[in-house]
Amino acid sequence: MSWVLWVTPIVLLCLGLPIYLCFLAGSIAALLFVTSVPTSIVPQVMFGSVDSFTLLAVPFFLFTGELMGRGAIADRLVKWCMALFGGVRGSLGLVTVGSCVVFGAISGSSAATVASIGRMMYPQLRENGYGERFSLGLVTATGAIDILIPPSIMMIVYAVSAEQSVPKLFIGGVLPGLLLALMEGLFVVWYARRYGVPVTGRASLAGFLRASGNAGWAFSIPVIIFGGIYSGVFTPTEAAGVAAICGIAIGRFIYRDTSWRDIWAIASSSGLLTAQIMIIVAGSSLYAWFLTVLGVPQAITGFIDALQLPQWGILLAINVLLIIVGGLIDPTSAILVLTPLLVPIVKAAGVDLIHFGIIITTNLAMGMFTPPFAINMFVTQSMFGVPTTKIVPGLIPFIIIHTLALIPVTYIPALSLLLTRFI
Amino acid sequence: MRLAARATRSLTTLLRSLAGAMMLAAIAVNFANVVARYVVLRPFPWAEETMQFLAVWIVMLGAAVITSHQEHLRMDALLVAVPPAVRRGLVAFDTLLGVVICLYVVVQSVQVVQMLTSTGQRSVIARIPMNLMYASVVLGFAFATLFPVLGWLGARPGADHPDVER
Repeated sequence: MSWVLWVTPIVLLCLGLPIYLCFLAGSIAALLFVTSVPTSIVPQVMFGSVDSFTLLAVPFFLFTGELMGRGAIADRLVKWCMALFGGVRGSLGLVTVGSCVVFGAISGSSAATVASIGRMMYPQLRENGYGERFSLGLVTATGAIDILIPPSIMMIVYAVSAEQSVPKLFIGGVLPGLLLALMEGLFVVWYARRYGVPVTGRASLAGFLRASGNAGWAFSIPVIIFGGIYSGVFTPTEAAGVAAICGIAIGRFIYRDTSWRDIWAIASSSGLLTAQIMIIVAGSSLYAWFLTVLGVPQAITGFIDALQLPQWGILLAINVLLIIVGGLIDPTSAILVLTPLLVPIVKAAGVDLIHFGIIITTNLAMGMFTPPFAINMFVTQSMFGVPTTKIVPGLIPFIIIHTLALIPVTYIPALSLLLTRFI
Repeated sequence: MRLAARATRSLTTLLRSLAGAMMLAAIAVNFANVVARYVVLRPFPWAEETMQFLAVWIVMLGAAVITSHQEHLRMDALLVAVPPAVRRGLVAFDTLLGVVICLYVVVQSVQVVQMLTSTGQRSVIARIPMNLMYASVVLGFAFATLFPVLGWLGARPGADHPDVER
């Protein structure tokens, strides 16, 4: 009867049941038909998975991201990127990529980045000669860089699941995130030259200094987050909470574009966003608990061992699996269910678990815009009211770029581990 | 019909406000703890458990509101591809199954709360009663069971699922 553990969630997922309920259904099926553990384990594991100090960083980063996205802070960051890239052919596309990197250093949520940056950049891209499909693909896909640029909610979830250091994972994601941004930037420049997109904006030192001055306070947030974490002053959770307070102070008292009513609305909406993510953490943690209790990780490790695959072969197989899974379920569920299964395998193959965390997050970042289940695509769809048939063709080049970026991220561990040696 | 819709609206507004208030409270406790540690050199030992307590309540109450708005993450590729009649059948099946699963969690959680009440167990440092912590699971899933039922009572005949109308 152990097949019910696999079949139940997969079938229900296809039938459109909310993801957290699919995992709960799979777990309850296992409880009723496969194991004889007490039924009280259901609320206990669900409660225990959410009751975590490390995961407490998730609501704080979501709050800060929402605060930054609604106020003029995102606008100032975009203007700073425009001052940096103005005058280059393809500058608006580069501004989109650059803004996602900079915004990613403040927000921990990819969807929030797409909503904030995409809302501002898409109309400008269209007005300045970029094709509809390209523009839709660009704003949808580049938001996924946020998952690699710290602070990253997915890295926090992986850290909890694999019992790894959040600060090490954060710094490990920097170079792969910048590599991805560079590759997407090169594609933007190629596109602009190929289709003769007109040059927009003008670069000047005075303009750049002015934009830097205007965005100076916004940059203080990543400084507080990373300065606090890497100097040992704050834990990531504390840094996230302090960043939230600074965000309130900057928006309310310095830029004066955020009212108390706005802050209240942002607190409520980020509370719901937290619930949307963390209830999946609760459901998938219970499911992962059953997988572990039933010895599934050991069985899979034994099977892989018997195949005697080399390390590169194992990593290749895992990448393929993660790409497929990333297109079917959300990254939180994928990390929580797959990490306990995959960690013993990669550990046995001699892969560093921080490096593996970056491989997982890079793969699942692509899942954010890979159909059919692509959260960033849903955000773009609802923001601009365009059908997925227009968004998907624009995403294909970015899926290819992201797949190409996976090769160095997977097979050059130094890319993920180099910076971790300095902390 | 109107009463059910009004009850849902009032309850979701209340739960949403509670989640927002708890979010701000958690941020305030975190900041106060950091200040206490570096300014007066005496951090609050209860801060960590209190924040975790607030986070669990935010998640459980917020998840109920999301159930009411039908905004939980789901893979709807099949739902949007099938004819409307099949879609309505699938949505009804999903909703019914969701109610059954949430009800199951409520029953199990009530047993855990009863057990914790009888033992009087409290958290290690902040001394928060554990039954109060687990009550979040009971209430959150009870509301997640109630909202679809109220939705059925207040629904217009033939109304479609909001996710698949876009």
